[in-house]
Amino acid sequence: MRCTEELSIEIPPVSSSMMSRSPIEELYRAENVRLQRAIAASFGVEIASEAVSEAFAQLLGRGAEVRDPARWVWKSSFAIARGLAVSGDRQFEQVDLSTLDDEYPSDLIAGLRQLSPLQRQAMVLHYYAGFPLAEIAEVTGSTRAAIKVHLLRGRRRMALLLEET
Amino acid sequence: MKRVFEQLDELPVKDLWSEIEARASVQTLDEGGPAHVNRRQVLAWAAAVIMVVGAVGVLSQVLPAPNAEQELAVVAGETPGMADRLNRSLAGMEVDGVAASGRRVYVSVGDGGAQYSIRSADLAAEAPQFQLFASLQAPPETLVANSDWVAVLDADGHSTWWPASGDGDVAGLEGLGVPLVGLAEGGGRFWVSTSEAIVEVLVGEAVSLGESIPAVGAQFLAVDAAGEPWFIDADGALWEGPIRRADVKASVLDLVPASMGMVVITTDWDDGRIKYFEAGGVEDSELGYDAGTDQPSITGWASGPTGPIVLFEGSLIASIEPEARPAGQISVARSTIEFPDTLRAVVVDGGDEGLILAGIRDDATLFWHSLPGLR
Repeated sequence: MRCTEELSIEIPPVSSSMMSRSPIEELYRAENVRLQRAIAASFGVEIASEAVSEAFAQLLGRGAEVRDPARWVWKSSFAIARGLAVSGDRQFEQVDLSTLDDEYPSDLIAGLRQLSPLQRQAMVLHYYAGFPLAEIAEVTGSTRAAIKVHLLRGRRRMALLLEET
Repeated sequence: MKRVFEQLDELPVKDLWSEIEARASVQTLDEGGPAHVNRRQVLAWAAAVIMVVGAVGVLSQVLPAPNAEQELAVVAGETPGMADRLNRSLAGMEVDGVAASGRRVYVSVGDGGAQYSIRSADLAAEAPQFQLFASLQAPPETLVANSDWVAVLDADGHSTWWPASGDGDVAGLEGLGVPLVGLAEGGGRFWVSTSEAIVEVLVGEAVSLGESIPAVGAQFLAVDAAGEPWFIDADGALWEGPIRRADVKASVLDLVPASMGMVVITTDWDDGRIKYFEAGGVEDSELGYDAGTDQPSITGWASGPTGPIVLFEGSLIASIEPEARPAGQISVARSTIEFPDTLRAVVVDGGDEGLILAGIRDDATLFWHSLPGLR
């Protein structure tokens, strides 16, 4: 209230489509950092930029069609990232995290590289993004029980790797 | 562990908003045609869904536009008309076993009392339904079939063979002097197990005993496509015929034949849920799987023409492509169909329809599911 009275900013007219994009941009501002880092740690920096850009662009195109944009964008970004990771040779195992490693050498990244793709995604989504099992299952297209196992094995393996280093 | 992951807060992050708006505007311009599809994303989604390491071409037909509020892909459609008709012809019966050869499906059933029989249906028929194939004297334990013979091992340890044509005399196996424990078929050869041995059964005009392999406490008898028997002995070792292949002290659910070997389905391998052993391999040369199959709940499995099909909790279908070696390839597809909690299934050649899974639900009724993307 105070701001509008004191500054008297003139707001330009906006189209209806721009009005519908505003909340999406807000969502982007709220989720981008966490989302990009989660995907980068799972698939690599390049894939993270591509997947997040593509998911949000698709979200803009869909607008009100999407009931829960935050969930949608996480799920879609990870799905796109998985697709990009396998589209070259269609092998998860060959996801290259070397770009990430170059930019950010750390024990954590070195350890993540040793995990299976699903273990890596589950660990990042749980311990970094703070997702519960059910949401990790949704984002990764897996099941709660599967995620539980991936977390168990990932944790065990990470602990050993971190201990070694 | 959470503290360790806080290191990720130092990862550089790009501001992508301009890029996002640019992409969105391009997509908006592209719109207008009824079949607007972003090719790049379709490829990305298709690849994400398939998660293939050496594929058998699953999902080639169904690549939906990305919409996370839908299922990722629909690869399987139910076959309600056929299923209804087939199931109606088994009304009031409890299905105990299921076997298939080509498009012919056999079930062993009970009437809830003391009457047991084998019923068969030809899915190639215009209006397939189950009809009486043979009556049984005791509750059936194992039912197997190939193009020539149908065999049953009953609860009394007796085995019986019938010509698949439905003609001819019943052939019974005599001479072992001990009850049979297992019965399996593969590559046209039948093998039975007792508490002491694995024995080939030669079926022709008469039934006689062939080669014998000593095996104490053999369980999970299965026969690969070459006709060689595989089993797990009382000490938890996996055997390929007379050759000891590996120590599988894990909780084995079953052995499922692949065309070039055998798949061991377990609940607690360290490195995955299923493991493929190539026929003729030497010890320690087995191929392990992870590749997206690291799922905790296998709810059913079947042996298909291109190898085993494994159903996981959450309607994940994994199909092993045995020809695509040596890395241990597997195709994984998702389905929107929820499979029964447990399902013992066989695969039926569905012709142009792809494969059809025929399985038994917990309530002893039949379950049908078509897999048009799999052959």
